[in-house]
Amino acid sequence: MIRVLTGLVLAVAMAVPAAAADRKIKDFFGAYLGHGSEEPVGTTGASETHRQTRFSQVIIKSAADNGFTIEWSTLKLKDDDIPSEADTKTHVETFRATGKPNVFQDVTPPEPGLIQDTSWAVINGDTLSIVKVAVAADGNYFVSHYDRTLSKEGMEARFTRFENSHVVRAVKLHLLKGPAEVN
Amino acid sequence: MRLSIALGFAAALVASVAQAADRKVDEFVGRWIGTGQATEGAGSPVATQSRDSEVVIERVADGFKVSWTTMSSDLDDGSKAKVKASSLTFKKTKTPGLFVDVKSGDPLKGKKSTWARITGDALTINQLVVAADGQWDVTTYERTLSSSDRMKLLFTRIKNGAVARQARLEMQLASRSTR
Repeated sequence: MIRVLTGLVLAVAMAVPAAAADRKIKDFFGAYLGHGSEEPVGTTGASETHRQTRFSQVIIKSAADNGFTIEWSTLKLKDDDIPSEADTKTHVETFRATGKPNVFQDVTPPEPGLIQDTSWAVINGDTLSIVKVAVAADGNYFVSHYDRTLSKEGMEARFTRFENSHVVRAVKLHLLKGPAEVN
Repeated sequence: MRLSIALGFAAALVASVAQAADRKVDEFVGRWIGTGQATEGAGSPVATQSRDSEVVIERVADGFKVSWTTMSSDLDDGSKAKVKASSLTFKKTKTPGLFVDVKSGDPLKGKKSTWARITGDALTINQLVVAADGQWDVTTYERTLSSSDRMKLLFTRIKNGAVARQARLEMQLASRSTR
């Protein structure tokens, strides 16, 4: 009887999909390359919005204190034609682990003169989210929110920027993971 | 003729500068009551609740205190109503028109970070909360004087990168006394 019940329990457990556990930061390590475009925000009509193409590279690797470093570079073409002039920007941030599982804090000291300068990262499911909040000396505030979700091919990235409760920019990117090891 | 035109121009210029100056806290002091609606969704917001609210703004040492009580009723079922009351006390900073909540702290250490500022006709209060699991939200109350006894309230909650809820209310001054 006990054997029958045990077998039944095992069969049910195998049939029911396991709840999705959160990824670990090492699952995100690697180099990713891809492109995407800006999404319309506010009341701007789709016909009025030039969905600017962006090319992006993201490198995520381990750092001290069970943390990680993320380096991302973005190239925006000024015109639709290629070749075209382009704006490029590169950002680097390093995070250290905190006492909370899958929650990390930026190691960079706050910028002086700001009322608030806070950046943190958190992993939920397959998504690594990085949020930065800055409050200027005059009380204006800005939030940058990156969601990077692991996919079969690499990563889907979504960026949203808020200025004083208004979405001022939204970008979606599709990135492929390269074969290079980054550690 | 030219002198009168010049004087008229100068007067208009002075008047426009005076209008553009930031309001003072005293202009917001009083007991305000009003009504409006809450919506959800950013792209095509849908009205979900009616809201009735009372706000009391009063002077305290080195700053001001805001207390508000709101009754929210589902539009689909008016019998389902919730009442919520809150209050915040702000002290002034070195920057004119900028105030910080006396209980404000580091959001990554479990504290709420709350600040207020007066720009033009608006008194805006922002509050940032970061939960233990890293989820965040920013709540903004923007109270704009449209006259000495009328105020528009715009409430916005942004949650984890998306506008989750907004509410718009029209408020009227019930009394300058806050007792």
